[in-house]
Amino acid sequence: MSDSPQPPKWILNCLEWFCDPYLVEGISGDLEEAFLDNLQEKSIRLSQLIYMLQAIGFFRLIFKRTDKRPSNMASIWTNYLLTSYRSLKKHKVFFGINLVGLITAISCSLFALIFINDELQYDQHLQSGDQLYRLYKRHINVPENVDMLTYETSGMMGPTMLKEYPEVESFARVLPWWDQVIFTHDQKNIVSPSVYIADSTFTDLFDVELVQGNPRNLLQRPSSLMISESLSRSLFGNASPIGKQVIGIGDLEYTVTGVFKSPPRQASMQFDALVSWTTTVPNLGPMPQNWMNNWRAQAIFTFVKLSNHVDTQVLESKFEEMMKTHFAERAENYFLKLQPLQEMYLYGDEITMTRGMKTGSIKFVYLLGFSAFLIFLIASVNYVNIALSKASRSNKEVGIRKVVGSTRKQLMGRFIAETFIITCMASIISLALVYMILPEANNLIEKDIPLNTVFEPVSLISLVVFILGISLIVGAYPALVMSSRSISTILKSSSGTMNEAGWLRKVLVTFQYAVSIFLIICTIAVVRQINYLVNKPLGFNKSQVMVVHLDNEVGPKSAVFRDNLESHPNIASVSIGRSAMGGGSYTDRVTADDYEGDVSARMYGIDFDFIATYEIPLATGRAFRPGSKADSAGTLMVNEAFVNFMGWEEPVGKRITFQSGNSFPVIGVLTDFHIGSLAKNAIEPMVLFLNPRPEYASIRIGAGDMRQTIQYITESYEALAERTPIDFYFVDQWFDEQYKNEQQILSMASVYAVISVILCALGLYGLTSLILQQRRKEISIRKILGASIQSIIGMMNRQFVVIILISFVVSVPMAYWLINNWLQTFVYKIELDPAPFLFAVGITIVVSVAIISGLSYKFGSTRLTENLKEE
Amino acid sequence: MKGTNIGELEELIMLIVALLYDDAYGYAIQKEIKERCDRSITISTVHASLARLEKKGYVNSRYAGATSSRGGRRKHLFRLTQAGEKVLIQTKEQRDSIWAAIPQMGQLSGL
Repeated sequence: MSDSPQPPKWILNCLEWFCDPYLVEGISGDLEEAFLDNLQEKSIRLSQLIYMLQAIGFFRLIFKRTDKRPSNMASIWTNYLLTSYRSLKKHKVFFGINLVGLITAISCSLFALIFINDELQYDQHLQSGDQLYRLYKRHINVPENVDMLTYETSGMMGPTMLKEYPEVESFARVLPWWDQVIFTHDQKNIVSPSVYIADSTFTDLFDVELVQGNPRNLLQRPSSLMISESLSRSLFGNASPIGKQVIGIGDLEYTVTGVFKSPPRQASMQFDALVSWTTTVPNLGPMPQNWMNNWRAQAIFTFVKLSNHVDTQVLESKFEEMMKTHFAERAENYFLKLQPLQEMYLYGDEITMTRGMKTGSIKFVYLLGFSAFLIFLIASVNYVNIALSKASRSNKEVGIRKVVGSTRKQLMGRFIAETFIITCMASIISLALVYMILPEANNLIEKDIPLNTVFEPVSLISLVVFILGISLIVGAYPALVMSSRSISTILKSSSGTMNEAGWLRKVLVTFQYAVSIFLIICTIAVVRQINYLVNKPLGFNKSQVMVVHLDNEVGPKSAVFRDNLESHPNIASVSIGRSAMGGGSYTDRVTADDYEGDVSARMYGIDFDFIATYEIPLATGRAFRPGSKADSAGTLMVNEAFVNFMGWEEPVGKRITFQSGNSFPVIGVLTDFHIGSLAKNAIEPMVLFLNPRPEYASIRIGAGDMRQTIQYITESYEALAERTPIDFYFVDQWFDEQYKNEQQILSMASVYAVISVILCALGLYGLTSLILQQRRKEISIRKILGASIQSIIGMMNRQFVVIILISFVVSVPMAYWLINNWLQTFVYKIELDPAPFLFAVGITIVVSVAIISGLSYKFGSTRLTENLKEE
Repeated sequence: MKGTNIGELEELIMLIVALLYDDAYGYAIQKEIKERCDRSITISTVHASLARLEKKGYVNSRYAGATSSRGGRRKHLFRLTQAGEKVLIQTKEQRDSIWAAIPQMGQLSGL
């Protein structure tokens, strides 16, 4: 019989355990018979599967065994729960401390979990996601000290790859349009913040879900336009937009070829409209953009789809050949690489130019997870400490239980039950708390995690894991300690000593303090670095300057606009040109007198008023002057960095040559000024030239009524604009926004630091009151013998101050190392000095001493007789 | 009358128990229902109904003698009680009287 196929044995065991023993034989016999019948026609595995499914059906209440044999397990557990409940009720303060600690710990962890889980799901929805890669390049330029990773690629790379390498199945180029686009149809103007110009393959590669339109003819022809459902509704109402004409980018007419469902929330690429790439191809489309379709210009994004199982490293090495053949002049500078698309959201930290895409950061994920873990540890330490110290109080209970015959396992059960009750309560409250805080937290870290994620299986399952895990891990240690003592020891010691767990308690408290001090130090360092970045002088006056986009219908009327503005008494100066702070510059390669080779310089196109408007000081030479014949023939200004790079002694009069071959003399040098985030950008060599092409208006506003002035500017603009709403920003705000990531880290770090300090303080409060309780006789006798309250307070404080100092010594190297590493990522950074470290340890000592002294004082002033009389 | 009502599946299973008479056990009942009514119900459902019927007192059960088939497990056999027979007959009579009261149906089927 043994070699004939058998039904799965384990499920039978389960059945036998679960079902009424009287019924089991009939049930298992029936199942067996059905199994043997099934074997006649079906495979062994299938029969076993059917057996299992059928067996599962028997786990119903009606078959459940009703024990006639009396068991005391149930009453034992009821008793455990009851005594646990009583014990919790008796020690309300400790119960409160533990509850608050656990709620904080569970909420932090739960939130971190929800956030991390959300981040990990980005870009995972694409069908052929594992075959998609994003092209990026390492840009090395030794003389200019450049070594960076960037997503910027040129328009020829994708097509050439497809032609030359069979591994490349398809490619799609994407150019997120620079600013918002206004779509006009039948007098209706709709602003669309995110428009991509994309190859026709884009819809297939990125699973764009089509609602209307012919899937074979979407983005092929020039001037094709696909719009999202919501955009379609705003423009066309319920009518079908297919084939209709819409005015869009470049004031050109586009034909709507498709309507798509907006990309899911967890996609890096969020777009409202797609414009066909062919629109931009010279000699083909109505909006020829040579730079989008040559090798030289590096500004667009390229995605490729590879065949299955391609070794990307091999392919990357082939790209070097391709560069040598097609773009030899940059083959030594550009090294093309492939990034799996599914990693683009989280692992793109190091790669610049993520324009037009949502990005996350794996570092932030680690940071959040790590901080939540630390909080969790602190709270657990509180719990263990208090439980251990409280242990002596349950001595009698434990002793009696042992005498009556509890096994050790059962005793552990008693203490785990207590933990279980409190964790359950904490978990439920945490769930509610996270639900309430999530919108705030979303704001804080700029995410849009929907509320219902809180109740998704992931978080509920992990809550159950938390409850069980904490009950077992945190509850087990005290349970173990308490259940391990022999009966005689327990009953003999009237109020147990804490010495046995003393060293452990000290280690745990030291650890807690180390974490808190570490978090405080980090928070202070982050605050100081951000303050430094925000407040460091930029080399021009950034306040009170408003920048208005003019790259639209108002551009041609910019002279009128300027006149209107300048007539207002509270507008000091107006500059209209190709560049403004926060936009409109580009880099180009130039050559210059007395210098071998070429250099990449930041190009700024300005008008006569630019330097005055931004209040940039002149180093030498002169500024552009209206009416100057030399200036209208062509002159240049540079910054000091440019002069230093060239090593010029006397810069005025030196000539700079552009790639077109034209060369112009330098007439003046500006002192260095920052044009971007101080975190990322060092000051580059810069060339300024006259180019009043109206793309931006920079307006310096006086000290008068700000609101009224903005109102005036808006009205002047609207008088000239028919369909484009005003789009403006303030220069100082623009600079502040550059530090969004750092601000996020700051808010996180400070929240966690505050929580950790509060938890530590709570734990200390609980611990001190327990110690005082236990030493009440000793302290009372000391007082009788003449000790002052001060000396008792001092005695209580001494050991904690030592602990804090030790934890300080432990946390300093870690904090120093981490902060130093973090600061290395900045171009401009603070020097680390001892202040944050001293402040952190100072505040910890002050808070601790205050708590301990307060409690000791209160205790020391109570009547001695009462303490001694007790028991 | 309320307490004596039985469900449709219960009625069917009682009928089959009556039909199989001396060999009415879970698996056999399930097979019979499959054959006669072309209706697939799981073995556990049959057992659950039988257990419920036994509680109501419409069937009683016993174990058959030892056997070497079925992995050496005895069959759990069921048989209708008097109360069970009564409730079956009652149900049938109720149906019949209602059927008789429907003239159109009778005409349609040519009765």
